[in-house]
Amino acid sequence: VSTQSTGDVSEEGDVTSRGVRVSLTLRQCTTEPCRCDYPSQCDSQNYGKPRFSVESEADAAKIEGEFVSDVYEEIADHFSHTRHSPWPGVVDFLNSLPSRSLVLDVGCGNGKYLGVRDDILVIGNDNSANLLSICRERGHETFACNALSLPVRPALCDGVICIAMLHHLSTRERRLRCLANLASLLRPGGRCLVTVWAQEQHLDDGEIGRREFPSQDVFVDWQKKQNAADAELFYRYYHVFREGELEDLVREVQGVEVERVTYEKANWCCVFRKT
Amino acid sequence: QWYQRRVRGMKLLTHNMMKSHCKGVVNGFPLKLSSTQVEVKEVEFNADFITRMLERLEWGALVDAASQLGVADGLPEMAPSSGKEVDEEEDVLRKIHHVLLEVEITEGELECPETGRKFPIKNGIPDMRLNEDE
Repeated sequence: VSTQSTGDVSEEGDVTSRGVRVSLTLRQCTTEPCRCDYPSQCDSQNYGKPRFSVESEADAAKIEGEFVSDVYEEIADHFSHTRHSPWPGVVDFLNSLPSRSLVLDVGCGNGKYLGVRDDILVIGNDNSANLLSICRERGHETFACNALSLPVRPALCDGVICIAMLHHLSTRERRLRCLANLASLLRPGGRCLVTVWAQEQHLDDGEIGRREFPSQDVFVDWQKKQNAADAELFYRYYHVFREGELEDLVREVQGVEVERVTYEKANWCCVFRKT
Repeated sequence: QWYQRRVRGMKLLTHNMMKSHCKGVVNGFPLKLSSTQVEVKEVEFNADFITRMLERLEWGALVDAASQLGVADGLPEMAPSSGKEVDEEEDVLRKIHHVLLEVEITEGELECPETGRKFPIKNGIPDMRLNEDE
């Protein structure tokens, strides 16, 4: 604001001389991270966060390398400790498969779902060697690979699960490619459950729209240590899905039909069947 | 408990399911096995499971892999017919069960039959991850 030593100018053109002005700014100091309702405008909430920008396959691979694969390798043990309770929806799906089924868990993480049922054979795969080591310690069979390229012959599986993995792919085309890969694993009649984080975070507890991710491509932080003194901060990339988005994507895959879509604990879940 | 959860390596069932995914490869199956360290363990036999798997197996590759590991004794050379009405002799199914589920590769290498690209098996876990340019 430029200084006006002469004074204020009124609408009629009169000039009044300026007096002393007193300006008061009231600030509130917080001792905790900001949780204001304007995360996408907030400097504190966005401080240090990476920016999402993907214009090529190389960009996509880079984001998924730096903000997914590498992070999971670093946080594997800590991450595994926080992932111990199987979700009922996934358990229900596994229980709905025929006895003596052959199942692949794509993006199996710490192997939480590999031993849920005694009478089916579930093989896990994941991109993180450290997470697979945890699976091995627990006595499960796994192999390492990226879900965008599965080294498996087609049409062998009675069931496939892909839990909280698809949302780490940074372009629509890659997400679609992954779904097509999952579909190709299935025998005719075989079924797949896919779950992804929802942009809408509270649809099932009455607080509709109460909290949403500010955009669909987000970086979510992870603190490696408990105490703040030597906490190491990592960011994981997520593409969070809007209502209908996962279903629409599955409908673009050849040879499958959608069985059901549900919202469970802030995740969109879709079951589809190979025709 | 039918399927014991003390797996320490890659089973031959899994080997039979896997193929090379190197770029441009036309027929990446089966992956060649080499430098293998193998463990044999007991897994409870279930005829239903073996019967279900029969028609999904590439029989020639299974016999070759089993022969290479020295565990092919008693395995029929031709794939047993797997129609619903066929009731395989239990001891044949048990031999197939042994080869599929009781032999585990804990260390070794898988090799793409077309490119020669090697995928290590370390601590029982095959590492099939490709680099960006592959």
